[in-house]
Amino acid sequence: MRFQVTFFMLFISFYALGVDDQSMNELFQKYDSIMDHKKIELIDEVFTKKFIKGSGGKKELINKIKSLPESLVQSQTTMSWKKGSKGEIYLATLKEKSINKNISISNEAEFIVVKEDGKLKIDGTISDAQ
Amino acid sequence: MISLSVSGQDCSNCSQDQNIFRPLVPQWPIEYVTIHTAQYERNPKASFCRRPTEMVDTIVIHHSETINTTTPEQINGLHLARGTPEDPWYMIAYSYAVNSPYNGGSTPKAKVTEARPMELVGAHAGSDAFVPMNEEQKKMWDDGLITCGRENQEFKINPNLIRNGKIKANVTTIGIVVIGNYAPFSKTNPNGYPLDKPRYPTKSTQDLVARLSCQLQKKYPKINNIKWHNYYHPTSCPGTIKEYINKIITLTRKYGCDFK
Repeated sequence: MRFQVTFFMLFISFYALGVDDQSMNELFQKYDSIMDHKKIELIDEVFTKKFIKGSGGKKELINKIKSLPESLVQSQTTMSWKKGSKGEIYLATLKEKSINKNISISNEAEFIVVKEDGKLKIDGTISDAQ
Repeated sequence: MISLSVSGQDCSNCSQDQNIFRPLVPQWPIEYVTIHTAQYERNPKASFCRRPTEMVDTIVIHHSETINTTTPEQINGLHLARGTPEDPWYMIAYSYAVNSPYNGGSTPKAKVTEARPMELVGAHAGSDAFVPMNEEQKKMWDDGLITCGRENQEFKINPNLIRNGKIKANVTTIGIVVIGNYAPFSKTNPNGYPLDKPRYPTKSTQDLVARLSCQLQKKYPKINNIKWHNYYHPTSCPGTIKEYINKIITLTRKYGCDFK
């Protein structure tokens, strides 16, 4: 009986939270593949329809990705995320830092992640007001 | 969460506490641009600070980094979501939002919307940005006129707003956000403009920001500076709009205003 209650609570928790680290990490691994290795076939899996439309359509988005120069500086990205305090929105912070200590690059962005057709997708970014 | 209007006209049923959202001067002395109002949800669990509007001497220009059809209400929702249970956000960080089409586009319709009321300290310039105070601002601080708290709770002076004799830039500034993304496409800005097609604020967007700034100066004469987000804080915001700040300042002269 206790096992059943525990299982039920875990089941409820999973559906209440809806998202775990693994699914968010997978989303951003695919995002890295698109941006770093031009895996444009993953676009529909990573971005929402709204994002693609807002980018000027898929063709325009592909052109933008293809035009992104190969970085001369090796960088490392780290991602952290949290559930927004309202609604089914997740906010992921992507930090990009140079691996080479002598070269200073440090970029940070906040991504809006939502569920579309039951899957996590990037819906946009938002400026870092605080 | 509570939903209410920042418009004094729409607030006839507000409780006394909610009256803080009424603009202190409900009429614009000169109207260079129609300013729309909107309904903003706010988080009553979040703390926020009040100030006399005379504290404000600077407008800070931002871009939202979102697509340009995003509404101020949607930005409010995103800002509410950005908070954590320990440190929730009260409402949209900026005081005014400007929607306008990109160059060559026709949507969205150009529109200025009031956001966080002027009487409330914003959350836009950067929590680590501190600025010197002039004598008048220092007196207002010393007189305890800048107070912080939560809805239905006592408001108190917050010493964290001061560091080494300087005050948080958010206390002496208001944020105007131009909704859209004016920074180049990159891994950390996938909404940005194509690298071979830089995006700049159109003449009509520049004029809209100038008219809004001038209208604000006519109503709040202490406002005499226009700056931009990365003047205070290392960020790509407001993208290429920064290159047009001097032009916007020049445009305000056409309407009889004087900004530094």
